[in-house]
Amino acid sequence: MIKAEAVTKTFDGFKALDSLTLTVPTGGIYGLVGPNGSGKSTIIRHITGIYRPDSGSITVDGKPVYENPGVKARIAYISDDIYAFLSSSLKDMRDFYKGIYPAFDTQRYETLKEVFPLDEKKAIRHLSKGMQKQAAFWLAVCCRPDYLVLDEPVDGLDPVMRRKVWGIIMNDVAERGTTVLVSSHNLRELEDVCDHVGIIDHGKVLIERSLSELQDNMVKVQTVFEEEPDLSSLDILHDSSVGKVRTLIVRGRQDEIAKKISCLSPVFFDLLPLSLEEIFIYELGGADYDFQDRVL
Amino acid sequence: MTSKTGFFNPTIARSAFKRTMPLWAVHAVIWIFAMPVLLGNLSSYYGENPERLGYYILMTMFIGGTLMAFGFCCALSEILCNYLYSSKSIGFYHSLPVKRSCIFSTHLIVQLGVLLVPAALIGAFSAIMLTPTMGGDAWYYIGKWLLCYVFFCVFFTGFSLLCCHLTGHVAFGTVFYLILNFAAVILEGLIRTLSSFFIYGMTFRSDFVLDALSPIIHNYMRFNVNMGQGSYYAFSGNTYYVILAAAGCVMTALAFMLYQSRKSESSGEVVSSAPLRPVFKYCMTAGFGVIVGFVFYALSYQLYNDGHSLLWLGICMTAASAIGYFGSEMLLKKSLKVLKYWRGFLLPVALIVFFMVSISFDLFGMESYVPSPDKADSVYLSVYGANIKVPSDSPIYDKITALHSVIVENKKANLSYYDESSRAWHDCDMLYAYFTYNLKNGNELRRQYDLPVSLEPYDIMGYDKAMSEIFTDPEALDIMYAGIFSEEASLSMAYVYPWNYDECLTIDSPHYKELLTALRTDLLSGSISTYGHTTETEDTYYLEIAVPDPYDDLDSASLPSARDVIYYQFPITPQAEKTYAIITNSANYVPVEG
Repeated sequence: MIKAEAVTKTFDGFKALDSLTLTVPTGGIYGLVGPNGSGKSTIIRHITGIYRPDSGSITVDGKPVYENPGVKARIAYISDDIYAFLSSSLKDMRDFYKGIYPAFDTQRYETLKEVFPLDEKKAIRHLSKGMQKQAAFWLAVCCRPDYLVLDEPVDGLDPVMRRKVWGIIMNDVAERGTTVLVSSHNLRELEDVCDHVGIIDHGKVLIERSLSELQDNMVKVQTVFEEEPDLSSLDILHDSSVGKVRTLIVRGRQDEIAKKISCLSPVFFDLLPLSLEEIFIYELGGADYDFQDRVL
Repeated sequence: MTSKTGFFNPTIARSAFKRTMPLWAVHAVIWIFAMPVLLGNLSSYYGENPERLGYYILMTMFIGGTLMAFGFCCALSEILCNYLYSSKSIGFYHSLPVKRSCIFSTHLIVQLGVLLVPAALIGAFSAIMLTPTMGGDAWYYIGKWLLCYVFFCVFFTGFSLLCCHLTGHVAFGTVFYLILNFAAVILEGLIRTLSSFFIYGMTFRSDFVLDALSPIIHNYMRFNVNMGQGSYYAFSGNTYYVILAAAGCVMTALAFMLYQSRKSESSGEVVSSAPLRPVFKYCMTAGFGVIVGFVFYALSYQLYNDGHSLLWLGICMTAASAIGYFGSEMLLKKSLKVLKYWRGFLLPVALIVFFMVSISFDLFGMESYVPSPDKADSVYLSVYGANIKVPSDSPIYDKITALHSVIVENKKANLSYYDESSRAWHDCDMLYAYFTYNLKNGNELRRQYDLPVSLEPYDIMGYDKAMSEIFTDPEALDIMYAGIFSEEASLSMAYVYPWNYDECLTIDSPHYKELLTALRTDLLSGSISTYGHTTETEDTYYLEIAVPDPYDDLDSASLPSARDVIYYQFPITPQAEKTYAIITNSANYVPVEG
């Protein structure tokens, strides 16, 4: 389990992380979502031991990560910006990773040659961005990590390759119990793979739940009322009307919301599940995001 | 594999070595040419003189080794620390399951290995090659050569690593290294130059005290390869080299501490450590203020004006400091909008104003300071050919300090005689007076003055009187002209020139004793000027004599001709009655050959 407790990080007076607390359960895929500049990459760099928090703690299975090779050897990290030594090829990097990560699996590397159609002798820096991402994936999964930390992992990959990469990751989660922490803006994709989701903004985690809990806890209501009802009993995140049809985004359990609306004697009402993208947008709208006029 | 030792990771070492391979090759090739190839050629010339080969080996290190270590250490550090300068690469390195201490020490071992292993192998090969010619001495000299290179490399590696870890920007490691290698000497030179411009009596001295902080300059200024004990050549600065190596170790430790505390997010910053940023800013301000300020002053004032203007220097220094201060703010803040930080610039401005006021009003007493006898061991005075050194307990010391005090008190009057338009002293002759005090605290105080000695009216400021009191004192004369006044004094040679040096006359040796007695009498009476202030007329002669050096340490059995001699020249006017009489009566014309 990865645990960040009250982590604060300031860059030149700017608070990138503000007493952030986050828990990534073992053996699942945790999606970290948030707007640009919300602190996703910063917390990931803390979790991988690159940054040292100003205050708070980051632990993996109860052990601190920073300057702890034993813990870091169990974490593979793919950054949003891939680094390779100048003029080094995939083979060179494979040898490097093999020397650094004790669990590096050469056999798996050979097996995955079929998945990643890359020229192993070509300098990685001369590969396209998508190919560099593939190379990074190839090397990372061969480290056989217990924790795979991915920052914008599938940016630049074509749809077929995305599917292959997610396939490999899901397979590792299922077979080896690998814990995956992934940050992405592609919420539709995350919705398909994540067990847990954390929404981060202004350096704080706003919500952290399992995806199903998250979806169960927010409902889109389409309804028609004869007269203006008293909606104060509902925790409404968004309210809009088209003609007589009124659309409400309401926080709460479906059955409870249905019961409350029924009591208001609507002409008609329907409860619809929200996608992760919608949850993301409405949650952030609640966090002082003036998106109503611009987004919806 | 992860490191078993904790301070060395073979995978990181291999990767580092791959990146430094081109430098490794160039470095090795240069030493191959400088050592076995050239030594092989030289051994055919100096085969019968192995010491010459030893000398050459040490000179190769003395001249080439310093530069090689200076250049290659910087380049290697820059390559190996390059990952610190981009968020992408530092993220990669610091996410690896390797401790920072291990990365640092592995890189350090690779860097020293790249430099020293080839040097050791090339040295060993050279020694084997030279053994038939030089015997065991080949190993002795090559061993010294290698040891010296180890010291150089340890120093420059520490220095360059520290510079590379001070910054988070790819360009600034080398910039810091180059600046810091020469900053001390440049700043000292400029401060000394400015002091000689604006502090009355201050002289420019090239005997720098901070050159030890610039090893390259220090090496070439102070050290050499000399014949040591037992007919072996040796470096003249062994202790300094050991100190260099120790300083290198200290700087490596500092670099390591900086790395340990370094924040990964500092990549791209000009100064990686936040507490050091104000230090950088004010060092830049001071550096620009002195160096660029001096350049501004030279270009805008000194080239077009005679004399100096402290006010203009202050303006130039303020302008240059502003460039340094706001420029460094721009680098640190990565923004051009830095004028809002003007408050921090008040400190340098205040210092410049204080500097100007302190010089104008001599707040620190540098101009008026005349060491009392309890502060000095001795004083050396030199006035136009007359030189005297006396201990501080001598009565002459008081006379010399009295002269010094009169000069200092008359600063304004002295300077008023200088005509800036003609760059000359008007209505007067000029004498140069140099004072050198050996202080009890081990330091040396030097002052130099250009003194106007007016002829009409005579002795305006009393300098002539003060000097006469010194240079006609029998004790002073005894010290100054020991060769004339000692009991065994004798003349080796005596020539006489008329005032215009048209001809050369000689005095025959039978008159030497008589001449010496006359000379003593006239010197003691003060009728012979000993410090060049003479009213020259057509009756004036210049007497040049040579006397055996009374302090020559040759044993008495030596031939007189083998002993060192001292030459003296005196202006002889009719006032020096006795000497003048001998010259006019006994001098013979000597035809000038050619």
